[in-house]
Order: sequence, then C-alpha cells, then structure tokens
Amino acid sequence: MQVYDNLALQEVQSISIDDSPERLKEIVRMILQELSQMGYDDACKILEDESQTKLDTTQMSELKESFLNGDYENILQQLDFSDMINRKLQYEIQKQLYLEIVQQRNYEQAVNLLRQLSEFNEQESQVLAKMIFLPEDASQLYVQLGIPMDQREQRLQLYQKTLNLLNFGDFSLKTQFDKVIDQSLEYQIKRCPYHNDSNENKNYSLLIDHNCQSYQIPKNNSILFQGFDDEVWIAKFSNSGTWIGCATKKNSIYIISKEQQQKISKAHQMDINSLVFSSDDKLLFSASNDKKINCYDVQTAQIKVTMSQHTNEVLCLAYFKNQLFSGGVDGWIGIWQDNGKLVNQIKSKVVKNILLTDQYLLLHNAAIFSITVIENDSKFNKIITHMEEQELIVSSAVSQNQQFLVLNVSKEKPKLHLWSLKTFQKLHVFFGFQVKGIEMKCCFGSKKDNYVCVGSQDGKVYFFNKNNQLQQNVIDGHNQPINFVDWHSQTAQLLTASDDKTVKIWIQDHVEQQQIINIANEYDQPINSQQGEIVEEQDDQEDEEYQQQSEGDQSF
Amino acid sequence: MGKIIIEYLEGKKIYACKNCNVHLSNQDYLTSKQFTGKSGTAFLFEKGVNYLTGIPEDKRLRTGLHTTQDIMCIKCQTYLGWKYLHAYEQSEKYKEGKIILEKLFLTKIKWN
Ligand SMILES: [Zn+2]
Repeated sequence: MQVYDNLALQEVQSISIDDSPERLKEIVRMILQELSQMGYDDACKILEDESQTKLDTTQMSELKESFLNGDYENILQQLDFSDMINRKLQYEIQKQLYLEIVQQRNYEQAVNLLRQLSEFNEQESQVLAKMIFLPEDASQLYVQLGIPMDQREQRLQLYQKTLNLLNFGDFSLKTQFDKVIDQSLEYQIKRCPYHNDSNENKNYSLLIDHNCQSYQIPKNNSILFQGFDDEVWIAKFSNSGTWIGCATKKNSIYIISKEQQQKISKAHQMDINSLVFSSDDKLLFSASNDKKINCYDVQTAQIKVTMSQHTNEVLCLAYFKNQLFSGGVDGWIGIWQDNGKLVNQIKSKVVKNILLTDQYLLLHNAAIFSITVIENDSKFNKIITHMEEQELIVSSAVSQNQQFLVLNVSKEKPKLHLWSLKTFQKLHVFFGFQVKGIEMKCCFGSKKDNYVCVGSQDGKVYFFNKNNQLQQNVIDGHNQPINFVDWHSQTAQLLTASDDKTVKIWIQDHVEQQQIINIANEYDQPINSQQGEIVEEQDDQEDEEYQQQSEGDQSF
Repeated sequence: MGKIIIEYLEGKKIYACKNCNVHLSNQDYLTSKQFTGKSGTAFLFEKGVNYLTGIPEDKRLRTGLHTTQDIMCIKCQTYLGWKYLHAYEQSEKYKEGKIILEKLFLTKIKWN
C-alpha cells in the first residue's frame, strides 16, 4: 500500500498545467477544429471571436475545391506520396478518376488505370473492371463498392477519406481528438497499478482518473501453520485447494489441510525438488535429488509406489490429464501412470521445470538459458520454438489461462521476465524484490491471472500487475526469507512458505482472527533402516501387482 | 537459507562434488591432470560453476609465487581446491583465472 501511495504522489507532482500561449492556442484550435468538423459553425465563430484564434481553413478549402472540381492532377501535386498510407490514398484518388473516366466512356485510359489499381487491391479491381464490361449493373456495383452514385457525393466522400488518411499541413485531421482520447485512456491503464482488464471494467472515461481497486490482493493472513521440522522449501495447493503439500530442508513431506496434518519424515534421502498432486487430489508425487519419485496416498500419507528409473537427480514433476511427467539431470522426460508404470520417455536436456498447456509442453532447461516449446501431442517430437534468456532461469510458471509465462532470472540481480505464449515475445520485466543465490518460486494469481507474485529474501511478498511494470503491492509475509508462493485461482488463496518454519494462507477478505494450526510431532513415524527396507519390499510387490493389472488392460 | 541456486552442466563427462553431487566442471574445460593439491592429484580447469571463493592469499607454490583463493562447494561448503588470481612468474601466467579441483573431492558423472 505504501508503495502505491508513493506512486500516486509522484503522479500528482508530475502534473503541472502548461499555460504557455502556444499550448492554449493549440487547445483552442483543436476544439475549433472539432466543432467545425461536427458542423457547430455558430459555436465555432463565437469561440474564434472570443479567443481571437482563427481556424485557418484556406489551405483546406483549396483542397476541398480541388476535390469537388475533380482536379486530381492538382491534388496529386499537393499531396506527397511516400509511405503506405499515402499509397492507399493515391489508390483512392485513382479509383475516383477511373470511375469518372468510365463514365466518360474513355475505356482505353480506364483499362490502363485499372492495371495500376489491381496492383494495390486486386479484389476490388475485379469489381471495378465490371464497370466497363457490365455497365448495366453499374448501380449494383456502386453499392458493392460502397460508393454513392452521384459524382459530387463521390468527390465529397473522397475528400473525407483523404482527411482521415493524412495530416494536412499544420491542420490536424478529424480523428485527432479521438486519437488523443484513445492515447490518454491507454496511458491511464498503463499507469494503473492494480489494473484488471477483465470485462466488467471496460467503461473508461477521461472525466475521472482511472484506477482499479486493489481488492484482489490476498493481503490478510487467515491461517498460520507452524511447527515444521525445518525451513519450508515447498508449499503447494492441491487442485481443489483443500490440501497442501509441503517439503522441508530435512526432506520431510507434510500433507496438511485445516482438519488433518500428516508428516512423512525423511521421505527422501536428499533434497526434495518438486511436489505435485494428481488431478483428482488422491495422490501426491515427490521428486528428489536421491533420483527417486515417490507417490503417496493423500488421505493416509502412506507411500504407494516409488519410481527409481531416473539415473540422476529428479528436478521436476508435472501432472497433466492423468499422467505424471518427470525430468531432471539424466536428460529424459518420463511420462508415468499413477501406478508408477513408465509409459513414455522423451529425450531432453537437463530440465529444471516442466510446464504443460493444452497446446504446448514447455521444458525449462537448466544447463542452457532457454525454454524449449514442444507441441503437446502424444508424440512430443515437434519443437515449436526456443525462448531464449540471457542468464540462468531459476524458476518458471505458466498462467492459468495458458497465455503467459513468467521466468525468474534472479541469479545475478532479482528480476522476473513476463513472456507471451502467443507471440513468444518478452513483454515486461519486474523487479524490486530481493533474492540472493536462493531459488525463489514465482506464480500467477487472481482473476484473469492479473498478477505475478514472488517472495523475497526480506520475508515480503511482491505482487506485480502483468499489464504494466508498476510495482503493485507488497505485504509483510514472514520474518525470514520466503521460498515458495502458490496462488490458488479458484479459492483466491495465496500460500507462502518460509525459512521461519511456517506456512501461511492469505486471503483478500478481512480476517477477524488468524487461525494458528500447530503441526504436532505426534504424527512422526520413527525412522530406522529396517522399516525403510520393509517399505521398499512392499513397494516392489505393489509394483508387480500394478504391472499385472496394466497387462490385463492391454489385452483388453 | 532456502534452496541454493545450482547451475547444471551438460557433456559426456561431468565433474561434481563428491559430497553433494553439485556439478563443478566438465571434460571440455579440463586443461591438465598433472597438478598436486593438499590431498594429492588435482586437475586444472578452464572454469567451473557452483563454487564459493575465499579470501585472496599470496602462496608460494612449487612453480613460484601466486595469488590464490580457496574454492568451496556452493551447497555443502566442502573445500575443493583453489583459484589462480595472479601468477608472478611469466611462465605461469596461463593459469590466471583457472581453477584447481582436487581429485579426492570429486566424483565423475558419465553419460552413455
Ligand atoms: Zn558439495
């Protein structure tokens, strides 16, 4: 909030009314011109008298006269044809000339002109050609071309078109005022720190300064989960938002909800890199530097299966349409069924993150500075493009509407890059948060994915509006650095995980009393190597069972 | 502290920290295997990733006086070797900017 106030103040200070005589004259002339174009001749005269500013129309009247007299040679001399807009204008004038020549039955010259016209607009030229060969259909053809029958009206229309197409001397054209208004609105939107481009706020006006409300920011802490065994490195909502999967520095996994908190001590031998829920929220998968992927039953926190096919650190997981995707240092993406059966392998680089949309499979490369975009068909062999960065991509996230990608490129200096997944262009750079050598997760959130959210080393959470580069809002999240943020789109709740061994849920609405949930250690299962072995044996059995099942499926 | 940002390398043979598997350098950057460190055999690399450096110190090595700084693993902080900042002897200048990693603290990751 503070930040916004500062911005607003800057804005106010920067507005000073330029009351120089030139500026006033310009304003009056713009108004005069607008009044004159609208046909308010009396008002125009009064203003001219009172302001002692003349709307100089001599140049204009000359041009108008030339049009009405059909003096095209003079017009073409007065206008300087250089760029594309003027090429269109030249075409319009030649078209009028053509129509008049056909009327005079000067067919030879008309055919010559037609050749030139067809170079610019072939389709319309075909209609124009019919004027010569089917003169009996002329009236119908005029309608088709959107041109009046009467020659004087034709010439007037051409004159109006001309005014719309070019700037004539120091006399601005009719749409100038419109243009100014469009530009002003665009500017206001660009300057709106909370801008939300969803449909309900489409009515902008110049009469008031546009500002969206900041209501979408989840800045109130509703629940505090405390008592984790170490720094919390991952905290992720399940698809429904009911469950939260957490991983700590001690390689413990917590599966928690408001009602139930379960701990899996030493879930992995080494760092846990990724957690992902199955679409139905029944399973939680974890990936680790110990080369393994574990699958847990969400309700009971019991391990169901371990996937050990990766030969090096597993860095990331993704779940898409009933399949689990995994990637890491060994250079292949695994595609798995819920029962742990490997169904497909895709060759890759070292992959830090896998992102899936209906259209694409995005591989966030860890050894090179790029995102590989692959067509999301069943084969995954068609590379669409590579989105290149200049430095290491630390973390990445895709928006709910699948149109945007945010990349955290904070290894040297804290910053986020927003990319379009439509054009594959970089749109914005966001900065202001602090990170030093720590992996910081970023995410999208709120209605229409309006915000990009990132944690900060100072314990704050930063929100950036994806429509502009203004700093949105900052909340005091934790006492220590934040490692992970996850913003659940349906429930509009934000999750933050911190070094301070807590996880917090943030909501938009006012919170009467913060709920504190202690994750007691009573759920700790004693760990010893023996039990570990037993668990693994059980895994193997389950593996076999599943394989048999899937074989049955195949024969079916 | 959070999760430290780790860089990854690609290539046929990667040298990693024996203690925590963090990638340090690869075969393409290997310049010489003929060096000796505190623990025995040491390798000279053109460059590396994922290491921290200590305070620059002047050290009298077998090949003369050098300014070096110790190299530690970014993740587990294990001592790995040193970096040459400056060589006083003209014949040793080629080592400037290069790093020494001691074999004892390394593990090799091979691909296919
Ligand atoms: Zn290490």
